[in-house]
Amino acid sequence: MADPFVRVDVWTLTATDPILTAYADAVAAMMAKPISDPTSWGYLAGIHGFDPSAPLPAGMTQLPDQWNQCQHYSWYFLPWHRLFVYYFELIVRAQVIANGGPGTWALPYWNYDGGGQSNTLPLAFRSQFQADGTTPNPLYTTQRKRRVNTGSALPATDISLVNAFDQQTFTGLGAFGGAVTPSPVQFFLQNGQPQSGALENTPHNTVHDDVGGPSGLMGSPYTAALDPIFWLHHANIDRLWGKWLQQSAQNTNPSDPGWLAQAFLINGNSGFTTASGAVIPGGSALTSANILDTSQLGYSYDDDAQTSPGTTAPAVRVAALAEAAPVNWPSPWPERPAAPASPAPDAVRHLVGATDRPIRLTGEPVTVTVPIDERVTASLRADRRAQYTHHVYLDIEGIDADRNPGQVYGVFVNLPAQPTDADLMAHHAGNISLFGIEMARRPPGDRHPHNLRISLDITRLLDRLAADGTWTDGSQLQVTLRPSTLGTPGDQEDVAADPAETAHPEVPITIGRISVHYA
Amino acid sequence: MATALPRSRRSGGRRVLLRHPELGAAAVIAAAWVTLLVQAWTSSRAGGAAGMDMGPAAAGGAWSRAAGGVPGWMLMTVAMMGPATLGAIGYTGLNSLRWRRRRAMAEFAAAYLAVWLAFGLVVLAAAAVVPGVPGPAALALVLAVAAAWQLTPVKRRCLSGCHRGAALPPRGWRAERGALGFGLRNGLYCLGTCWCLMLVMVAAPGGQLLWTAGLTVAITTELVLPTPRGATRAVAALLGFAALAALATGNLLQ
Repeated sequence: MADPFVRVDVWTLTATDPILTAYADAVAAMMAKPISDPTSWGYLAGIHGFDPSAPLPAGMTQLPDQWNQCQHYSWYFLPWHRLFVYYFELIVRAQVIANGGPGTWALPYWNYDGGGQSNTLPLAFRSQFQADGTTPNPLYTTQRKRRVNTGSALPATDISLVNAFDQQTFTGLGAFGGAVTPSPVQFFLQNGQPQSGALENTPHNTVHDDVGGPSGLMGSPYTAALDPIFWLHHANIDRLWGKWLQQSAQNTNPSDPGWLAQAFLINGNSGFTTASGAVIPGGSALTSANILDTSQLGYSYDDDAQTSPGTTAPAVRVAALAEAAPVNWPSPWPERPAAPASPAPDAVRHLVGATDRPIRLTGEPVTVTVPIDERVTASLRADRRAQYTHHVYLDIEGIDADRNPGQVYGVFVNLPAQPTDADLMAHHAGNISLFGIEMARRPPGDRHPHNLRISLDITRLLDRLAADGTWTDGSQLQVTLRPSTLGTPGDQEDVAADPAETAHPEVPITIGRISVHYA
Repeated sequence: MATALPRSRRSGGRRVLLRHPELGAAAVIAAAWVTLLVQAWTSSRAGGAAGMDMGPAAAGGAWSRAAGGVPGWMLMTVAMMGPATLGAIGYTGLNSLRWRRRRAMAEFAAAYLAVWLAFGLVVLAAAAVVPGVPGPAALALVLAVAAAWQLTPVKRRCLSGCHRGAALPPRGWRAERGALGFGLRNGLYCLGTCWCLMLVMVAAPGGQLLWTAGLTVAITTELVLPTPRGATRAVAALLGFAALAALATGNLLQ
């Protein structure tokens, strides 16, 4: 039986489509509720995050236990957000019905990688007023980057699905869904090991920054869910999880009971009493195993029949890569076998090179050389007993800033000096985003503060660069960190950086080290 | 013979070592514990007091007496601080090039222990001149200070500092400086976290082995727990109780 609720691509709707007008009306009604009401706009956003150092909301004597649950830098990122958006959708649907709207209402998704205009903010979210020209549009907020609200395109490398869909495992460093974290913790970092998944890195974190910037709602987990576009963004991330599973039979969810049995009490102990009078019960929590498939929650996506997630990682290209013969990498790297193993979540990583001094980013591109240590690569080659998966990881370590400057930096390997748009896409490894740094530096409760570390699996990228003949000197990797910039609507390419737009001298980003690891 | 081992078992052991380069340091810590146990056993067989081994009861000034107590002090430092520091040692190894992992971990450990050595010299010299140390009154005072220190924001910040990683340069003098600097910083944070717990070892007139074991459990638990507040408060309460008991009994655990 088909699922009754179908989430559709927002860019297939006009700005005045009933789905969007019903959403706007529901948002307005939920915003009008007191924040102490669990179905109010502010309360639901607080479940994701609320700055514990901010003044208490009016009418509250303490923060609800239900707040500050969001999961990032963790393998719980995807299931937690799936469930969070699911409850939100139930509450909004009840509000839509109470407002006289369609009973089959489902949350649309924003597929920024759908080609054409899709990389710009959907029209219904851009205008300050509704169609009558006088009623404020609840889907609009000034607390976004101004140029996003006026229709500038998200940077192509910030919405690229290439790195995420290059991954063949869910769990592990740099893998699709994130590394193992022992318990649900917001912005996890343990023993200096990076935990965020490739999809979380891009496009999740990047779109948060591109829309929210340094001071907008989307730029911080404490305020992100207050922006009505947040939910369409996360519906898309949720959709991409399914797309990745569809991509290949090899792509599977974790089978570890620690992940499958993890419960998320997003509904709290009291549940939600919706606008239609229906009660969503609380007290018992769904687990990851309960929500592996969207049909378990009664919804689907309008493009479930297609396997292609977007324009940057068409199924054909990814499939072709998987079948392509491995390319040998330039000396001194170990020889690549005919069929490299899939990366194991617990693979032993060997440091093969690192920068030797910190990097400071204030809006200008920076290029550093990571020398590959030949003594290590020689011992890797000589070690006949070792069982390598022949995967390479680029780690950006000790990422820190006083607060999120809202500026994404693309990470590129061996980028030419004057890169064309095609070069940028061809050499792109991932992105640096400071989304959530405030939560990492001042975690709620008594957790220890920390900075951020990301791990990018660059195996496929190196294969491509070696095959193209653009990586011939194996003794080093050039890593360029380049601020991404908003482009012109419909443009799939990055425009020339405007220093005034990307500069953030008052909030410098520091990076401790860039390192390369072989597993 | 190693070559007779099945391949999987052999490579399994190697993988553990590659993943946990701190196992060598763990062996050193285990050896420190064995030494402490043997010392305690020998001491009890000889019917001697089970006080901290302050070395030969040398005549002379406070500093020379302090120097005599250094081996015992460092032994206890390794035994008590070691388990909590293994994570940072492993971090240093894993984030260093394979051929200089041991060197980096040794540099970390040397700088870390230098902090405790310097502190130990001061403490041992003070203990040599302050009357009533070791003794029940001194023990009660130190336990009370330790209990209070547990609850200060400085202690909390230092405990968080013990969790901070470092960007270690891979080669050359920067690598040496990086590992030494990381060890020094970690040692200072650790000192800020545990300094008064180590004073207990000097002030306690007896039961050293029990104190060592109990405090090691407390220090390690606090450090490894991701949310340490409960453990910090529980340890503070236990220390406070022990302070009262020391006062009441006059000589706890002797």
